Amino acid sequence: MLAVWAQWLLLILGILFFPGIGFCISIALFDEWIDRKFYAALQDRIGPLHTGFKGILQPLADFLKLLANEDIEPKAADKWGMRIVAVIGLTIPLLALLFVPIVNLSGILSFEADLLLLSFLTTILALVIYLAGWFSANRLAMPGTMRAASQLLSYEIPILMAMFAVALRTESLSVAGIVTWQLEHHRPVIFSLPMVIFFLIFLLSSQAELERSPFDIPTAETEIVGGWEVEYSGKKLAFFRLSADLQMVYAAGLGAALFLGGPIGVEMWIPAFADWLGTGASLAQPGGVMWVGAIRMAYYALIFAIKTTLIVLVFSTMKALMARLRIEQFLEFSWKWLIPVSLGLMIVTFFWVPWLDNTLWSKFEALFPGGAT
Amino acid sequence: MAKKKIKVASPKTGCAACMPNTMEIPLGPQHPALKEPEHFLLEVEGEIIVNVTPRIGYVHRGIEKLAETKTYSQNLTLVERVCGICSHVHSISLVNAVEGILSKHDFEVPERAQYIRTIILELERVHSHILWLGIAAHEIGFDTLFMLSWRDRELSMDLLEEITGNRVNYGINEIGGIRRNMTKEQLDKTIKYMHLTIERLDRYVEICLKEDTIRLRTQGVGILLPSKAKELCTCGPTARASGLAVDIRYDDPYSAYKGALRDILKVVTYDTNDVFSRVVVRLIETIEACKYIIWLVENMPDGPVFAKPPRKIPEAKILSRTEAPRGELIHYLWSNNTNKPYRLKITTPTLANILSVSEMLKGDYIADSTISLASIDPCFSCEDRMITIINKDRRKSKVWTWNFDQLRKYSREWNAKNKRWKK
Amino acid sequence: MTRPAVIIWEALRNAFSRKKATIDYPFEPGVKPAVGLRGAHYLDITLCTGCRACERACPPIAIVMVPSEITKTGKRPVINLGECIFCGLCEDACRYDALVLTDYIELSAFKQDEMIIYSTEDPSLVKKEEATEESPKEEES
Ligand code: SF4
Ligand code: SF4
Repeated sequence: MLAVWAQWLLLILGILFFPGIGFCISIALFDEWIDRKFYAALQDRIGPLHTGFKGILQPLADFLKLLANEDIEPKAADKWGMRIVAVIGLTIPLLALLFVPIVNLSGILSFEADLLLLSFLTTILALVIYLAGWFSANRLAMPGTMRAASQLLSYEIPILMAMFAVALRTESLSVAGIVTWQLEHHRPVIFSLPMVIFFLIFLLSSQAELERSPFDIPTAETEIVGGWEVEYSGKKLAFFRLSADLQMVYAAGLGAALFLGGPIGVEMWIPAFADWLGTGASLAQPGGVMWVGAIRMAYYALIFAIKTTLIVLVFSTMKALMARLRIEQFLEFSWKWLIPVSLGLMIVTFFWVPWLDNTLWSKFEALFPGGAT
Repeated sequence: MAKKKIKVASPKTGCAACMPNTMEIPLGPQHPALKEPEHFLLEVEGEIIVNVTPRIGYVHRGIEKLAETKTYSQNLTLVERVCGICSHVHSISLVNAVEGILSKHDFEVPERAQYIRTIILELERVHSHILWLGIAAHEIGFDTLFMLSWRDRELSMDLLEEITGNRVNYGINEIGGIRRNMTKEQLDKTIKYMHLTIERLDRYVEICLKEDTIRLRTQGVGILLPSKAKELCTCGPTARASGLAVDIRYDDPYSAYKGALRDILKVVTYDTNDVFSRVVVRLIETIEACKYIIWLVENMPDGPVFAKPPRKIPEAKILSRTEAPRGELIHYLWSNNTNKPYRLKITTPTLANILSVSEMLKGDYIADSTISLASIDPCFSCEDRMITIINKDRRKSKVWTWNFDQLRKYSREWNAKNKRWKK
Repeated sequence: MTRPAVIIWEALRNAFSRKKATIDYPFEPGVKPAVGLRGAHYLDITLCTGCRACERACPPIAIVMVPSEITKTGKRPVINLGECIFCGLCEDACRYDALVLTDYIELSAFKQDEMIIYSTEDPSLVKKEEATEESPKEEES
C-alpha cells in the first residue's frame, strides 16, 4: 500500500512523463513521421530521410527549428491574444489526451461522463482556431476563420453522433466504461454493421476536424495562403504544428478507444491472459503485483501505438486521394449525407442493434473460449 | 451547359449604415499559388468575387531591347529565355521570321531539320501540358496527381535532354537548320517513350473524367462563354476550350506542319467553357501531340540538317506566328541588312489571355480564383512589359515615363558602365 | 459513373513498391546525364590559339580574354560559369577544338569567384595535364 503522497507523486509523474505529456508528444511526432513517410510513399516519393533512422527525428527537428525561428507579429494584430491562443491551442489537445486510455483501461484522468467533456474540448479547439484567425487581423485570415467556423458546424455533429452512438450501444458515458464493456463482451464495438459506418463517419469527420486534405479548407495554402495560420510564425507556429499532431493522435486514440477496444489487444479473446494482466498493480488498484503492472503498462502502450498508427495510416491515405472540396461543397456533403445518415443509424442503433448483435454474436461466440457474457 | 453564375448585388446597394460589404483580397504579387509575381485585386462579398483588377509589370526584363544588341544566332538563345517552359517555340518563331526573309532570296531549310524542329516543338507541348496538369492538381489540393504527373513528365524531359543537350533551354536551333542531328537510337527511343507517355496520359484522362472531387472543383467554374472569348481575343487552349477552333498549326502552318502532317492534325475543342473543359482540351491535345511525334519520326526524311545562311539578313519587316503550348505567339522582326535585328517585338499568349481571367473570376468563389487563374496556364514573366501606372485611389505611385531618347541614353550609360564583368 | 478516390489502387501500389521515383541525390549517385549534355567547359590550352572566336560567339559575355604566354596571339579565354548559359556556341565557334563542353554538371559553389574557371594559368599544371589527362573537375576553383 502506497502512501498518499506517493500516489500523488506517481500521478504527477504520470501526467508529465510516461502516459502523459511526454509520451503523447513523442507518439505525436512519431505519427507525424509515419504520416509524412506514407503520404510520400503514396505519391511515389521517399519522404524524410536524414535525421535519425530513415528520418524518424525529422518532425522533432522541424519543431525545434521552428522554435528557433524569428517570431514576427504584425502591427495591427492583437499580440497578447495571438500568444495566448497559441498556448491554449497546444494545451487543449494535451488535456484531451489525458482522458484517452493509453496504459490502463481508463485514461489518467477519468470520471463518469468524461465523453461529454471530450466533445466540449474539441469544440473549444475550433473556437481557438477562430480566435487565432481573428486576432491576427489579416485579410487572408478572415476567410480562413469564417471557413473554420462554418466547417465546425458540419463536422462536429457527425462526430458527436458517432461518439454518442457508441455510448448508447455500450450504455456508458465514460471512455473507461466503453473500453471495459468491450473487454467484458469480448469484442470491439466495431463488430457490428452500423458501427462500421459510424467508424467511417468518425474518420471522415475527424479528417475535417484535423483540417487535412481533402477538408483542409480553412488553411488551404493555394487558395488563401494558409488561412487562419497566415500570420503565425516562429514559436507560435511551432505550437500550432505540434497541436495539430497531438490532435491527430487524440482523434486516432479516441477512435481506437471507442471503436477498436482502446489499448486492449488479444486478451479480449483470451480471458486467462486478461485475468493475469488484471492482477498487476496500478494507481486504481494498488494492491497488485508490481512487475505485472509494469508489463501491462508497456503492453497497453504498445497496442495503443499500433492502433493509432493504423488509424493514422488511414488518415494519410485519405489525404492523398482527393482534391480539396470547396467550403459549400463540404457543407452540402455534410448536411446532405453525413448528418442524415448518422441520425438514421442512431435510431437503428437505439432500437435494433442490441438485439441484432446478440442474435448474430451468440452464434459467433462459440468459436472463442471466452464464453458467453 | 448554361452559364451558372451567381447574381450578386453591386457593392453600392449594400446597407449604407454598416461597413462597406465588400472586402479587398490581394492575390499576389506573392502568393503560394502563383509561381511568378503578378497582382490581382479581388473584391469579394463573403466568399464571392464581384470584381477583379489585374495589374501586370512586375518582372519586365527588357529582352526586346537586349535583342537589338546581339547577333541573330545569339538572339536565338536569348529569346529562348523569354519563357522557361515553352522555350523552343520562341526560337522557332524567330527562326521562322528570319528564314521567311531569306526565302525571298532563294534560301531553303532542309526538310529533315524542319521535322526535328517539329518533334521538339511537340515534345515541348507534351511536357508543358503535363506540367500544367500537375499545377492545376496542386491548385485544387490534389497533390498525388501533381506528383505522379510530374514523374511521368520526366520521360519527355529526358528525351529532350538527350536530343538537344539541355533540359530546359534547348539551344538546338540555328538560322538555316538545327545544330544536332538525331541518331537512329534516339528516334527509336522517342517512339518507345511516346507510347509510354500515351499510356500514362490515357490513365490521367480516365482519372480526370472519373474522379468526383476533380469534377466538383472544375465543372461550372471559371466560365468563359465563346462570345466573350472571341471578344477578349483569347487564344490557344483557352479559346479552344470555349469552343473556338483556333490553332495556328492548322490555320497558318509553319515548319513541318506545312506538309502532310496537316492532314492528320486535329484541332481539339470542347464546349463546356469551364475549367474542366480546359483540362480535357489540354489532355487530349497532349495525346494528339504524342501521336504527331510518332508520325513525324516514322516519316522522317533523310538528308542534311543545316544549310549555311548568309551573314547579313536583308532589310524586311516580317511577322511570324506560332502555336505555343499556351496559345498564339507572335514575333515581329524588323531587319536592316546587318547581322543584328533592328527591332524585335514579342507578344506571348498569356498577354492575350490575361484579360479573360477577370471575366472568368467574376461571380465565382474565392476558393476557385487560383484554379481559374491557373486554367489559362499563365506565364507572367513572358508577357510582362513596362507600363505606366495610373493609380487613382491608392497611395501615390511613382510614375516612370521615358521617351525614346532618354531610354537610349540610359541604356548607353548602363552599357558603358557594365560592359564586361571584371575581376 | 464518377466516384471519389479513383486513384486509390495506383497510390497504394506506389506505396508498397520498393522502387520510388525520387532518389536521395547528393548522397546517392544521381542520374547519369544523357550523352551530349552540355556541362562545364574543358579548355585544352595547348590547342588554343587565342583567336577570340569563342568570345565573339558567346551571347551572355561569359568569356573574356586574358593575357597568356602559351597561346599564339598571347590571349586565352576565361569562362565565368555563373554567367554561362550552356548554349555551346563557343564550342561550335572554336575551330581548333580547344574548348569543349563536358558532361560535368555539379557546378554549384559557395562564392562567385569559384564559378570562374581557368582564371589562373599555371604552366606546370598544363604540362601535367598533357601527361595524365586530368578531368576538368580537378582544376576548377
Ligand atoms: S575559339 Fe578556341 S582557339 Fe579561339 S580563343 Fe577560343 S578556345 Fe582558343
Ligand atoms: S556555352 Fe554559351 S554561354 Fe557558355 S561560354 Fe560558351 S558560348 Fe558562352
